[in-house]
Amino acid sequence: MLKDITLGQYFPGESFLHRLDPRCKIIATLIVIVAIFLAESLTAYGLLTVFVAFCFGISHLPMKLVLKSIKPLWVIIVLTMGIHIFTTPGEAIWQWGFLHITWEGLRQGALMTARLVYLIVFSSLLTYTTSPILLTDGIEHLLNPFRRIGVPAHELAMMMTIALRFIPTLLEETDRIMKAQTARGANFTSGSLIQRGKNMIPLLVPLFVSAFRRADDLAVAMESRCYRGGMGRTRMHELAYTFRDSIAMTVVILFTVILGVMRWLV
Amino acid sequence: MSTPMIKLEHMSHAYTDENGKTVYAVKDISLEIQPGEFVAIIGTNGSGKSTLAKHFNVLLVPTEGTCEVCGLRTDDPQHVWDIRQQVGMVFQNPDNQIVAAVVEEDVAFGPENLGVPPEEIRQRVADALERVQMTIYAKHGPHLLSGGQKQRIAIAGILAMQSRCIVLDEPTAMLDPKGRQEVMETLHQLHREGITVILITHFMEEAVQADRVMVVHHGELKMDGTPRSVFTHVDELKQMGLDVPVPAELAVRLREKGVPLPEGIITKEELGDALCQ
Amino acid sequence: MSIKLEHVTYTYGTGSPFEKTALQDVSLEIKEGEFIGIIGHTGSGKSTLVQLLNGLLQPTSGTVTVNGQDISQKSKAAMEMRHAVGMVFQYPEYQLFEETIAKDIAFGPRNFGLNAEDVAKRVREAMEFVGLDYDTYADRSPFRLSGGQMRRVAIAGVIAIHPQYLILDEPSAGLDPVGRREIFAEIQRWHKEKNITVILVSHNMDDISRMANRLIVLSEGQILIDGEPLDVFATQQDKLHSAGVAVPPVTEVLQYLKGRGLAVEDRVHTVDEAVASIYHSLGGNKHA
Repeated sequence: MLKDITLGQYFPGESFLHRLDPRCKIIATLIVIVAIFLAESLTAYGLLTVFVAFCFGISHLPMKLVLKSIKPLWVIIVLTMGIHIFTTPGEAIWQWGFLHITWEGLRQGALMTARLVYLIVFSSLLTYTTSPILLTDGIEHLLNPFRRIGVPAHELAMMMTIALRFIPTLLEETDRIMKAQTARGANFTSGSLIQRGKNMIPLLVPLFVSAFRRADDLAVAMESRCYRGGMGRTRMHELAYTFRDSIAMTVVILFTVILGVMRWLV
Repeated sequence: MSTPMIKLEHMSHAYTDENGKTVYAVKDISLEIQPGEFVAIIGTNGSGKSTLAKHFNVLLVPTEGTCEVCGLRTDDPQHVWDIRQQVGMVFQNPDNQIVAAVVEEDVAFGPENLGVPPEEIRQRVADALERVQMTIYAKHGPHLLSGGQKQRIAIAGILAMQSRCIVLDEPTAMLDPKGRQEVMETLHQLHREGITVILITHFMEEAVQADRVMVVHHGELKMDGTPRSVFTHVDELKQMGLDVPVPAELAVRLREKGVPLPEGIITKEELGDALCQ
Repeated sequence: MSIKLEHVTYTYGTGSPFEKTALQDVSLEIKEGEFIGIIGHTGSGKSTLVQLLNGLLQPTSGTVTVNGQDISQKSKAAMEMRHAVGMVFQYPEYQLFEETIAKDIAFGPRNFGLNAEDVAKRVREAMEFVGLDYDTYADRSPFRLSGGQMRRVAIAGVIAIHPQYLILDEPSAGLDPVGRREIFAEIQRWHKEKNITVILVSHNMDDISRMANRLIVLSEGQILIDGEPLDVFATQQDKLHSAGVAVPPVTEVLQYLKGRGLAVEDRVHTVDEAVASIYHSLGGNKHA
C-alpha cells in the first residue's frame, strides 16, 4: 500500500528544461506564478495556455504526468469550480432553490480552474525536471544572501537533503511495523475516526522511537566524517549559470511583462 | 620505528550509572596498533569493544590514561579534526550512516567537509567507488542497494577522505552471508593497499582472517595475539561467551580424549594434516 | 491440521515497470509439529513466502489454506485462522510501543478479544517463558531494557497470542553467541512443550541443522530443496552450492576429513557428536 506512493517527483531527462540551472528554474517558476495571477482576459488566458503547453512540450515529459500532477488536488479543483459557478452573481440561466448558475459564474469558474491547473502544472514542471539534490542546492544558494539576517541557509538545505535520503527508509519501516502490528491483531483500516486515530499509536510510537535512534546514529556518523556545519565546506558539483539560463530567464520575464501590459494598459 | 597508528596507555572510560555508581566500560587498556595492521577486536555485546573503538575516532575521550592516534593526543581539542580525517569509522547499521540521497554525493560528504576543491573531490569519489567496486551505482539512490553494498559505500566515503586507518564497528552484524563476504573481501583489499584495518566483530569466522586478534571482556583486554594463539584458548573463549572455529574446538576436544594432536590447530586443513598423516 | 500452499505465485508491483515475481508456482505443506528451517539469500523469496503464510500478503494466484480454511477470504473464519499463525519479524524489538512491558505483551491477546483475566494469565506465562521475571519486569518500560531483553519482550508479545504456527524471521540477528543460544533454547522449548509448529527463517545453517527437522532452500522464487537437513547436507551439496548457501561448519569439517580418507560419519548436529565421530573413526588404529 505504501509502496504505491511515488517518491520524489523527479523525472530524469536531458531536455532544455532539465539542463537549466536550478536557481534559474526556481526564480523563473516564481515569476511565472506571478504571471498566472496577472492573467484576466480570455486573450491573456489563451497566451498562458500556449506558454504552459510550450514549456511542457520542450520538457519532453510524457503527457500523463500532467494528469498525475493534477490528480491529488482534484477535490480542490472541483470545489473551486463549484464555488465560482454557483456563487457568482449575474443573469441566472438555471436555478434551483437558492442555487443558481450564471454565465458569469461559468466563465469565472472555468478561468479559476484554468488558473489553478496551470499553477499546479507549472510548479510540477520544476520538480519533474530538477533532481531533489539540485533543487536543494538551488534553494541553499538562493537563501545564502539572507544568511546575514539569520536565515540558516546551509542548515535548511542539509535538513532537506537528509529528509530526502530518509523518506524511502522510513516508508519501508512504516510498512514493516504496520505488518508486525497487524500480525498481533492491530487494525489500521476500520472503526470511527477517533478509534482509528487511537489505533495509530502502535504504529507511531515505534516509528518515532526509530526516527530518533536513526537521527542519533546519523549525527555520530556525520561527526565522525568531519562534519562541522557549512563553514569551509566545498561541494562536489558546483552550480553553473550559463547562456541557456539567460535565454530562459529573458523569455519568462518578457512573457510576464506582456501579461502585465495586457492587464493594466490594454 | 614509525609512529604507532593507535597507542593507548592505561586508558579507561568510566561513566556514572543511574544509581550513581561508577562503571568502567573500558578499564586500564594499554596497546599499540602499527600502521598497516589488520586487527580484529572481539567480545560479546556489552563487553566494551564498541566503547573502545569510539576512542580511536575521538567520538569519546578517555576518562583516565591516554589515547594517541598518529602521535596526536585525542584529549587535545585542536587535534580532533585531524584525527577524524586520518581514522574513518564505519558503523553497524548501514542505513543510519548514509547522508545523501545519491551514492556519489554521499561518498563526497567527507571531502566536502574537509574543504577539498570540487575537481579533486570528483576524482577522489570516482577513485573510491572504483576501489569498492561500486562505480556503476554512482548515481543510484542508496535505498535501492543491498546491505553489503551500503557498507561498501560507507567504506568508499572514508577512502575519499584519504584516511590511513579504518575502524569498523560490527559492520556485518546486520548483513546476510553474501553481504558479509563482500565487506570482508573489501577489507582484505584495503589491507593489501596498506590501510590499517580495525574490525570490531562478534563473528569469529571474520576475526580468524585478521593478522591480530584482541579479546575484550568486561572492559578489559584479555587476549592479544595472532588468531592461532588466541583461538586455541577454546575453553577461556567459551567462558567469555564467544565462539571458536570448529576445527580448533575439535582439536582441543580430541586431545582431551587422548588423541595426540599438535597444538595450534585452527583450520580444517591443519586438522586434516594432523589426523591423516 | 496444516498450512497448505497450492500453486502460489506472488508478483510485486503488477503492471508497473518494477514488476517482479517473488514467488513462482510454489506448492508446500507445513504439517503440525514440524520445525522447519527456511534458508535462501536475499531476494530468494523467503520473506514473501512467510508473509503469505499468515495473510499479510495475498497470493497473486494460487491459494493459501490454514487448517483447511482459505485465508484470502474476508470471512470471520479466515481472519481467525490467520491468528493461528504468529509472526516474529526481523528486529522485532522495533515494534514495541507501550509504557510497560506487560501492556505491550498484552496487546495481541487483547486485540483478539480475550478478557482481562485471561490476558493477564497469558502475559505472565509469556514473560516466564522468555525468562523475564513477572514481578520484576511487568511494570518497567520496555525502552529501558538491553537490546537482547527487548527482543525477548517482542517475542513474548507474539507467543502470548498462542499461535499454533510460529514464524520467526532471523530471530538471532545482531545478537552475540550467548544471546543467540538463549533465544533458540526458548524457541525449542516452546516447540517441544506446546507442540507448536515452528518456521525459522535464517541465514545460519548451523542453527537450522541443530534444531530443524525439515530444511527448505529457496532460490529465485522457487523451492530448490525440501528435505531432512542432514540428508540434504550429505546428498545435495551441488544444489546447495548453486543456491549460494553453505553447509554448517561442523558438517563442512567432517566432509573435508572424509574427503581426505578418514572414515568419519558426517551426519552429525553438534561438535560433541563430531568429536565422537572422529574418535570412533580413529578407533582401530590409535594412530601415531
